[in-house]
Amino acid sequence: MRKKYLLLFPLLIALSSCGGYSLDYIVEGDKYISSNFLKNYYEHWDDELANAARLVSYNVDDSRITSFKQIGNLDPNYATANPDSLNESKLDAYSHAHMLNNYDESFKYGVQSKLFDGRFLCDGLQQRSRIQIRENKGFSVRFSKESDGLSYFAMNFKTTLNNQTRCYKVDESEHPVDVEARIDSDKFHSSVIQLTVTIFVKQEGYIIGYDFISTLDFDECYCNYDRILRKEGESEDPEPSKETTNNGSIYYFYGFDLSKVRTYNNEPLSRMVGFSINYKVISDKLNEFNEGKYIDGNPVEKMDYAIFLYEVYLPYTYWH
Amino acid sequence: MEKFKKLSKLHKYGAAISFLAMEIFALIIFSFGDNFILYSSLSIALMVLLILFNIRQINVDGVSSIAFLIFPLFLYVLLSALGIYSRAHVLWGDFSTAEIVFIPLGLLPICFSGYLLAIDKTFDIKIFLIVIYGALALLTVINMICNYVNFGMFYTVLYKGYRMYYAGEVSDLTVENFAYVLHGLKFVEVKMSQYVLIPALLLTSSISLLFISPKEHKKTFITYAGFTFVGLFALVTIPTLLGGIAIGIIIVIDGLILLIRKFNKIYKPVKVFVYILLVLIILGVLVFALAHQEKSSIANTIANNGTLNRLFNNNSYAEMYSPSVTNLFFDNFFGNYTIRPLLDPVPETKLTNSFLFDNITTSGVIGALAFIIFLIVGFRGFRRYILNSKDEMSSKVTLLAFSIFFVIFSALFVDRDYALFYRVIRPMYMTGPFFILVFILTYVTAKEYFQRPKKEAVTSNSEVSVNA
Repeated sequence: MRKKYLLLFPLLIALSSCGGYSLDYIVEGDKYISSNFLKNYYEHWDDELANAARLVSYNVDDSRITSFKQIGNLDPNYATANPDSLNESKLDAYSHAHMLNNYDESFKYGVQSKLFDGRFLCDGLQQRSRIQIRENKGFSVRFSKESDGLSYFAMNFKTTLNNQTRCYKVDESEHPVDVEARIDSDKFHSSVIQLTVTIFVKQEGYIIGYDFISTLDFDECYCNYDRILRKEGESEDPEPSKETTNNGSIYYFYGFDLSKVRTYNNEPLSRMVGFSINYKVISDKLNEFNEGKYIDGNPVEKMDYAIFLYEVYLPYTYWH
Repeated sequence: MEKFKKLSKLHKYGAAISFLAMEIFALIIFSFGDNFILYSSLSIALMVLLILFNIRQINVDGVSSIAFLIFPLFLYVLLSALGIYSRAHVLWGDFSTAEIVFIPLGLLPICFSGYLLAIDKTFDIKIFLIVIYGALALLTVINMICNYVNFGMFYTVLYKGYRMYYAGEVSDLTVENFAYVLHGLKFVEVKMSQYVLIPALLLTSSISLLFISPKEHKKTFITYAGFTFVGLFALVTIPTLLGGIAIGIIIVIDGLILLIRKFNKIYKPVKVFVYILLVLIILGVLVFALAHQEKSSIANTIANNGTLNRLFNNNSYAEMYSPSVTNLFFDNFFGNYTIRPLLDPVPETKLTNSFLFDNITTSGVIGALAFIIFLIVGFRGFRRYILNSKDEMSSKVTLLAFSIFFVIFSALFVDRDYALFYRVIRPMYMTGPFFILVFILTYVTAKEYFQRPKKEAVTSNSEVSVNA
């Protein structure tokens, strides 16, 4: 009988070695934080979410907000008679009040924890502070807990092109010209994308995806700011405005209401287990312009599009 | 007197009290994370209980036997508690006021408990060791399984170079440099030295296998073999350089103990060697300090010599340890270089992986020296204990191996700011194994005193022959 107890130890060790629960939270070397733009795309898809049925699609163009100044439309706690009073400090307070890290320890693990840490701006950390999303690939996040009830979804992001060396400004002759000065308010890069946010919920033992689709028009001039060539002796460019508005801005605050959404069997949306974000570029003015053009005899290369996602919010949710 | 007579009748429950004492030690070494107040409270309760049950045997001579041990320890813990380091860290939220009050209140009772259990005839050091190692084995198995569940066996090799994301930040350390350990009632990512310490302490039980006959004491031999196996298994299946070094240190300690079994004959050369080593260390620390003073001629001499420069200035250890020493002699706030009058350390100095330098930071030079003296007196007591005590040799050498390994490993490798993703600062005197070390050193000193051969008294009536 006593000899049988000796088998417990190796059995215990063998069974516990089949885990690997934290392997999802570790990444190799400088993956996703490399100085190479092309290495930083995050394309992780959870198997269950990738294979989930997508039964319903909602077009949110009418009900979305695209600026933090409009947050009062979604969140009465931030409604104000004077939208101009909502500025970066308010967004900072909002972000730290509603970051998902506050709700549960499980949100703190993994690459996706960058979206739940309350850091809604780059803050000089660049790729360490954001997730980079590739067109038509997207990514998903599977939560280890479920939520009770949903109020609204919001995210803070910006769009960019992989232009490591220079931006092209269109001059009157419509020839690309190296930009050697500071960025001004001239809008020489605009794009239109179709953004799809999918909310995955558990219903009757299955995971069902609900797509929320929106067409977004970015009328802004952001590009890889740090790489702009400067004239000799010129002082550092001032920091661009961090106000999240549509006009000449860099960061884009986007959200839509979930509280009134109904499932396919007419129940309130609940038991959220994950989400995914994907997008399709409908038009990209700079790449379209550069197509077929040459610089010094070399064809102008198409630049890679990316969304830099800084933060995702699911306020007023309860996780268990 | 009547009250004392009633109390003295309680001594018949000695076996139960000894058992309770061992359970308390098991809880202390199990650590429960950084619950310093818990094991300080346990040590106070234990001391009170032991005083009540052993009150008849307590006498001035007995207490004075450990006076030379208690005094430097008392000075060390008082300076640690009242020094600027602890007070500043209370303001910064790393410690609570209760914790620094319990630094002397927790350690002195455990020290006194060593004396009380040495005079308690029902206390058996063999069972104490089995209980301590049993607790360590349980903790080792729990930590081991947690790491297997999270990463799997040999993860330090399979996932070398990987990093973990937590709260939006990527870890400074790669996966092979941290592990999960039980910290209180949850599992926490800590630096590898914290994981390696526990199975390595467990592995010190291997020395017993060389002193216990497997035929005569089969059960005890199998128990210690089991402890050794668990410790080795934990270090081998999560292979790290630090684990290899720990195993190497234990092998050297075991080898040295075997070689100098006849302590009396070889003691003198060992004593001379240890004293020379101490002098070299003190000189080295002094030169190290002077090497980082900008206006010192010694600093210039060292900087100009390639070898000396590399030894004292230009290496990662010098960069890690030099702030502990140089911050005693500099006041950089206004660019004035003065010797700080009370040799108080600068509280912002980071703790290193060596208690020798950390004691300078937490307790000042006086406190650091007091602790060194405590160790010297304690290990001198160990020598006498091994020679004179009637305890079994296997128990004696096991206590010695445990103590020596803990001191060496803590002096070289154990980080005091050990959690990966949040701030936990725990100087050595706030950890469970240190409580056990203090107990062991006091126990062996007191035990030897009570078991040494007594000299016959010379009375005024005895005849004394005098050669004419």
